[in-house]
Amino acid sequence: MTATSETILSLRHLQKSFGEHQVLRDISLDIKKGEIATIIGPSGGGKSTTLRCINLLEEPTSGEITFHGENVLASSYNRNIYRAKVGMVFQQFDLFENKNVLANCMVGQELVLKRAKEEARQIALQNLEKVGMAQYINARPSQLSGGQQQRVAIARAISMDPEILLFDEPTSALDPEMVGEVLSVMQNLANTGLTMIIVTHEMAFARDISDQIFFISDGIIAEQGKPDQLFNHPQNEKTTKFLSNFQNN
Amino acid sequence: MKSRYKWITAVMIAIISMTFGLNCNSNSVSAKKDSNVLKVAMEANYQPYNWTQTNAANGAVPIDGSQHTFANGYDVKIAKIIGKKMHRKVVVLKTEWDGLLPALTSGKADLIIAGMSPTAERAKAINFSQPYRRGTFVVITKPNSKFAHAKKLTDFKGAKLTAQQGTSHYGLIKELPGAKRQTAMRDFAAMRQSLISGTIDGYLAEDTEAISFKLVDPDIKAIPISKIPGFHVSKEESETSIGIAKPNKLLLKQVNQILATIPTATRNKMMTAAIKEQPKADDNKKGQSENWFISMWKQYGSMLVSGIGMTLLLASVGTIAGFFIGLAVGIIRTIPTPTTTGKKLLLKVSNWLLSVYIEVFRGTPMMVQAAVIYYGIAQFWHLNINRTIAALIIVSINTGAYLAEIIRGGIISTPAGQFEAASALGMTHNQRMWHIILPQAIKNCLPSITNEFIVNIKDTSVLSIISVSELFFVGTTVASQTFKFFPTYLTISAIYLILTFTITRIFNLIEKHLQGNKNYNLMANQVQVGTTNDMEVKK
Repeated sequence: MTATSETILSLRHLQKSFGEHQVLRDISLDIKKGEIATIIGPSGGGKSTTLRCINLLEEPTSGEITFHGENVLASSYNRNIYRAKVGMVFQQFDLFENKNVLANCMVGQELVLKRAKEEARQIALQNLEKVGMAQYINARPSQLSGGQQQRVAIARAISMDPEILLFDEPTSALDPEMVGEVLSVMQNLANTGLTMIIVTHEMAFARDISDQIFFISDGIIAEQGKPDQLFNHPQNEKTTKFLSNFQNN
Repeated sequence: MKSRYKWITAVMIAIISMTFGLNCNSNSVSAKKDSNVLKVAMEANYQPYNWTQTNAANGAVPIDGSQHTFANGYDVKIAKIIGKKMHRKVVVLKTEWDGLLPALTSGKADLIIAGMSPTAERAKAINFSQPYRRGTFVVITKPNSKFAHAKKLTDFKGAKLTAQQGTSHYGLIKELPGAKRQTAMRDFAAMRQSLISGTIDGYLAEDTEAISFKLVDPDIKAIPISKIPGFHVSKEESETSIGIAKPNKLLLKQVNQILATIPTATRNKMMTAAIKEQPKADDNKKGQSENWFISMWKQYGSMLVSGIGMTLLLASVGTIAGFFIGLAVGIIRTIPTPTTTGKKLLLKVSNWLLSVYIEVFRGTPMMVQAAVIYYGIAQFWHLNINRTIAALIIVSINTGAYLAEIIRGGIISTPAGQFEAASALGMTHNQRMWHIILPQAIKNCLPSITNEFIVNIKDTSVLSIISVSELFFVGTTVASQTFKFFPTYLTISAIYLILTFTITRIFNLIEKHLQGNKNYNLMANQVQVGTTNDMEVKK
């Protein structure tokens, strides 16, 4: 929670359509260095699509993405280097099934960052240690539980030394008893000053961890603000209705 | 005097080449070849005209492209006389019957001396010499058959008769009024077997077959039907001539001159010698103590082993090369649509070409591909490729067409999430493919690749069409020489089964190894870590 005033990523009037269906209608937001931003909102509202557009897994239909003031969507921009700096953790973990835990955390460093094998290995080991998976370095993804896999996926992402880390519903696919271990890893990461954008349904977690919360519904940012303001004094009717689902539970 | 009339493939190739006027330079082609060697095409499987043996006894001539086999027979004896007078060394090209004409028209052989009758149809494609033998026809039956004493053509009324498939002999059965013509059979061995087992009353053949058969089994009766009044047979069907490529007028003249110097008495002597020398089924009956399998193995073992070797070579090289072809095609076909128009067009064109390749090679039998490629290349480009190399190429591109689709399927079925995860790390398309997707795709395709390997072991048998001496080709040779059809093919099928079974096991082991353990054993992989703190997260 050491947000500075420096904006490192901004989206301007981002739109995304899949055929006839317009998922993102107008998304504009700024992320400051060291900030923890959380995106909440109803399913199908465009949360994940926003995140996937930031990492260019989806090509925005129109709009602008700037990273350190540079236009990411320009054809001359090196997207692979950008992606290495903007890491992503997926809902389904998506570990490389053909590689063991350690190799999963090394392959990106070696191929994209061109780090030497030994250096990559040391960094991977440090990060696996951080997420509590150091004793599983030789395991195959299929031999691990969901929570363990997600922790490895986080270690894989932070081994690239990203400037921003994106989390796309990182706990949604987990059994309830495994959610805690992953959230705890994320909490620790947040404390290191890493910039994070999180899409989640864990409202309590979002409230505790975030500097800023975006409520996305029907392809637009319906409301944004500090956790306290958004959770306790929502201005938008939709936000109120959405949050009531969670408070009633 | 073997006069098969079903020449469709061969005659068509020959006619096509003549239509395109490509034969006009065949002269130069044959001139280019080593003039000291006289290449003679024959089946080496048609006793007593020609056969295969495993040693050089009785003046046998080596068969081209094989170390263990020699050809001998009446045709070989004639070929040797011609070779001697022309001062050229005779080499036999062992070729399937249907491959004889293409071998000649494509310039792979100088002469066909294969007991072939100069039918009008064949004469359209090639030239024939003066006959080097005139034969008579017989109906071979059992002495206790009710047709054994037939004197008139009508005496065969109700007789179940057959003859060799694709020969004019089969048509001659019509000369016997009332005879029930049965389905034509592949070769003499099959007809002999049928006669002995009683499924037919007799079969129509040349006199030489009667002599040959009697040496093996004296308990048969040959009725000389050529001598019965009213039996009509055209001269061209009772004669046997040497085939020579159309443009090669000089060779035709030389052959005719040489044939004219061989008197009938000498010819008859040579035929008698050939009949006596031909491999006999009961060669091994002399030593009753020895079992058939052992004696067959003693006599043909080296042939069978080299046949197994050839089959394994074709199947393994074909599968490996086919795998790389399939991999390349599979990768190209899964490249995502590029952004620039030029690249888009290029990809579209290459994808179209590749799908044509896959459709053509998956959609036509390998046997036909082999014939078209092997004879076609020789005919139209005058490139004489070695038949083993041709076979390897054919199996490889055929396998490639199948594996391309299998590998494409493997690539597509690798979870898209991993592809995205690799993208999110900043990997390029190539890095994603080579490091993440392909290792998994190939692993998942392994059962299908094993399958393709096994199919190849069996299906390379169709390459006997271009006379590659793989296991089936060798088996056919052994069977038709020993006349032990059932035991030989049973042995061959056992060998095939052993080969495929072994390969299945090997690949199963590889698969198992790649699959790895289902559970991760912390204790075995890592130093002492308590199960309680493995869930603990560093704070």
